[in-house]
Amino acid sequence: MAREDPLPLLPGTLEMLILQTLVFGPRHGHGIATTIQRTSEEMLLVDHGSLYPALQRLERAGLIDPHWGTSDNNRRARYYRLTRAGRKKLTAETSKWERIVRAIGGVMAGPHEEEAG
Amino acid sequence: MSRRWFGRDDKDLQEEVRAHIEIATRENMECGMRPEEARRAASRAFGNAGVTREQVQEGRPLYWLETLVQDARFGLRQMRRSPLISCAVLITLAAGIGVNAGAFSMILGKLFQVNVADPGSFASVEIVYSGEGARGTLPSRATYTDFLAFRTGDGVLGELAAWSTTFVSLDENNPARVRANQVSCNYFKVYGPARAILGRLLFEDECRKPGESPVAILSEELWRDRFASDAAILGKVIQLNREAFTIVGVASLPPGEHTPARIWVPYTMAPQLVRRQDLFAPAGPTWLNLSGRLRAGNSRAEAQAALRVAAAQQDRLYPRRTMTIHVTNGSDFERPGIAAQTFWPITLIMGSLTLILLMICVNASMLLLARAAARRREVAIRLSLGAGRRRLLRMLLTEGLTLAVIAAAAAGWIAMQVPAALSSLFKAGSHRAVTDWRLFAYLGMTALAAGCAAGLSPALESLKTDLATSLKGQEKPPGGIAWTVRDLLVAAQIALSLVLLIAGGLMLRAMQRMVTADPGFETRQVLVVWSPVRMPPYTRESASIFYRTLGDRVRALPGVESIGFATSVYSGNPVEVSLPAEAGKGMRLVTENDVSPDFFVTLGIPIVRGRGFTDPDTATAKPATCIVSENLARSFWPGSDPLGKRIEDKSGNLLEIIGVVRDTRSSFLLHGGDAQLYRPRRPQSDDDDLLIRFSGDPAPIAAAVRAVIRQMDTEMSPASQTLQSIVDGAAGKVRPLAGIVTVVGLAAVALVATGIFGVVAFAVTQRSRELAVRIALGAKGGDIVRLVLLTGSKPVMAGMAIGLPLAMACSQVLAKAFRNGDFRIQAADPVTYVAVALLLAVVSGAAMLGPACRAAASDPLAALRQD
Repeated sequence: MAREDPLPLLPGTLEMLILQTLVFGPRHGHGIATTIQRTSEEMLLVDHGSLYPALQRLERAGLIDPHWGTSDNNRRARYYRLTRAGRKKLTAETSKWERIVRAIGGVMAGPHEEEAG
Repeated sequence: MSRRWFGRDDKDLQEEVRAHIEIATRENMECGMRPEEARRAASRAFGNAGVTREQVQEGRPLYWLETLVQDARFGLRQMRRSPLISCAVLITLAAGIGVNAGAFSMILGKLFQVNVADPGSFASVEIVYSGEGARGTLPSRATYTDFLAFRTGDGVLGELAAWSTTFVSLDENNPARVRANQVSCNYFKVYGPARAILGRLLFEDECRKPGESPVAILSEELWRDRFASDAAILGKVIQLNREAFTIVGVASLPPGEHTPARIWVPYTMAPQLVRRQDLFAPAGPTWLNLSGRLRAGNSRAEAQAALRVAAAQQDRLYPRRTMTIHVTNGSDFERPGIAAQTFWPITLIMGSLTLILLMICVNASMLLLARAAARRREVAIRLSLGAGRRRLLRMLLTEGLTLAVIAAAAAGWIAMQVPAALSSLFKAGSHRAVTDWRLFAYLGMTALAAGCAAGLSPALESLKTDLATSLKGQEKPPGGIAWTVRDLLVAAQIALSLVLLIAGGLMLRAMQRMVTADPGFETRQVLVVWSPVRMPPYTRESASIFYRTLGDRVRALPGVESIGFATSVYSGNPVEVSLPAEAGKGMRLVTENDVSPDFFVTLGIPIVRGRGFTDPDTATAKPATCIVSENLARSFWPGSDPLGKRIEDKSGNLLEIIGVVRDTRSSFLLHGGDAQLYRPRRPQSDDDDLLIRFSGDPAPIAAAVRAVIRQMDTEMSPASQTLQSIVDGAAGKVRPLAGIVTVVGLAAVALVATGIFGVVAFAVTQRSRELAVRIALGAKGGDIVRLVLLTGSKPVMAGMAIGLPLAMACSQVLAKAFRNGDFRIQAADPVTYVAVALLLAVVSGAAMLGPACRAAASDPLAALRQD
């Protein structure tokens, strides 16, 4: 199967992606990274060097709440849970993202139509 | 809370990263990888854990503080690892900063403070007279009538005291004189102390009428030294300048007294002490210093305004002069006209100390640089392990600053010792050094600057590291012409020390010229006698008769060879003269001394052309005659005979030159070195120095002369001294200064030597492989030494090239600064320049020789096998 090369993350989107992965329950750092990779069908690769600083930023902003828990294979790991503020932020970010996608999509599609017209 | 500010601790984060990798490893194994492979793959996928941790930590709010502590601890660890270098840096930095800050605190104290009790209410009244009797823009003393006007007219000053100082003899047979302050009777209320140790202070009515209260108060010191702390001293009568005074009290020194005295007497007794009757006359002489205390709640500005009103009234009464009143806090800084006088000394002191401190910084920099270079491999490892360059730069800077902070603590202690040490050296200083926030702010800032200066270049140097070569231990030898930071530092140091040493050398030369150089006349066998006559009892006629008789009687004394009179042996009057033809424009400043015919014989100044004065040559004779020194003759008539030529003085009198005498060279006797103009002394002169050429021992002659004078006038207490003792006295005064200059110079040389030694030794170690190859290929020991010396002397030469013009500029400034001083500095003194340059060359050569020889003697095989 021919695979496309993985994409670098768009700057500023990592936080949003992290918050999104936490919607369905707390996860640890590795879990967050693999979830993002899996759900993007291996198109988005999360650089661990930026994952943890991003987690730190979200934690400081009070958007996620860390706690130590046990992983599926009985390893103690640090889990992150979405806080109420985090949920609100995610909603806001999501709608903003959708508007950006629509706007950029419109622009990218636009010139062809005009040329046709 | 701490978590909020510091975030998580590092262990927590490490644990999280470990968990991440472990979980990933498990997953990899579940996908069928072998355990080893699974772990490696997981680690690789995670990337550099150190970098991640670093990045997470940098996000914390108080990260900078945390790393500061870390860096400081790291700095301390580094210092422990190389204790010798650290000690050297610490000691020199501490000494440099300490002495600098100490001098600063003294200058602050001297300039801005007055050492009185309760300085807030102290007020010093400075008067600048203009018009008749004006002394330019410098503050002057007050007349008695002005003092009374200020005293009665005030409402703002609580007390206004007047004082004046003089020297008195305590005992006819002991010529030593002690300082006596003639004070108004409220003086102690202004200066303190509150009460006497024994007896009482002055009563107000003792200052009512001139001459009526011959009472005296002894200082505790005088009481102890001269009267053996005699408890029954009160009521005893002592002779001050042969006037009877009754001792009524003993008091400790008033703090901050401008001229600390041994005895205080009411100022109404001044006419008896100084034998002047006009002191209390209206519009009399200006002789009283005024200081007071503000009434509570009043400011100095209010006092000044009030006194200016009183001054305006006085000016109307005495319309020939006007007063400008300044009320200050008594510090030098606020005295009108004083700033210009203190500018140069302060610039010189702080300038040279700052130069030394700069050299110390450069030196510390070089030492740290050598250490930093030796640590290159470590830095390279840190860089490759993910340390950010900025973080590393900060770490290295903090190291320098840690050193500076420790040095500053020691420097604080040194700074406290400097004022005491200096004032004991100069035996002066009623001024207290400032030890408040200003000193500490200065100390802190100096230390900070020094730390940054010392730490920056090593930090920058180590960051230039090329990772690959450093890790392999192969440093590229500094190639060809390329300048390293170290070379620049050496050059800077040489330049700085050149400036410092040349300035110091010029000063020492000036002092030496002043003290030991042949003055151009006899000093040992010439006695100078001062016996000024007081004009009120004497008239011009009786004074000139007095001098003539004195001359005749002294000349007749056994052992006296000849006598002469001169206006002054210290200095003549500066006058302007010109050639008659070019009057008004070709004015040249020369020194005029009015001398008696035997003056040249007495001092042994040879007459090289023409003749000396004879008795008919008086200032009133026509044509007026004069004798000039050789350099004056040279400057007016180069190459031709000056005899019979004429010069014109400022008031248009023509003087005919009848003789030329040899130049005098002493810089403080007879104002030597300058062009000299001698004119015949008027026989009726009344205030001249008597010079006696004698043979044998001076003491009996001095005693005989004193007896002669006493015989003629019992009131007189003449002072006499050989010219040589004046020279020696001046030498004693400049000796501490010469000592300081020498110490500063030696410090500079030592700094240069250690600095160069360090740099060259380090360069040799760094090039050991290259040098070994050269030896292995057949280079002789001499070749290696030459090579090391050549490369090492490149920055030395450059430093000299930079330093020489700097030093020339500085010595111009110096010469300007000392223009009016006791000794004069010749800026263009090739001997000093050559000597200093040679000294520096020799010292740097010697400093390089050790490492060079070691390199030559090293075993090439050992060096090549090193890595």
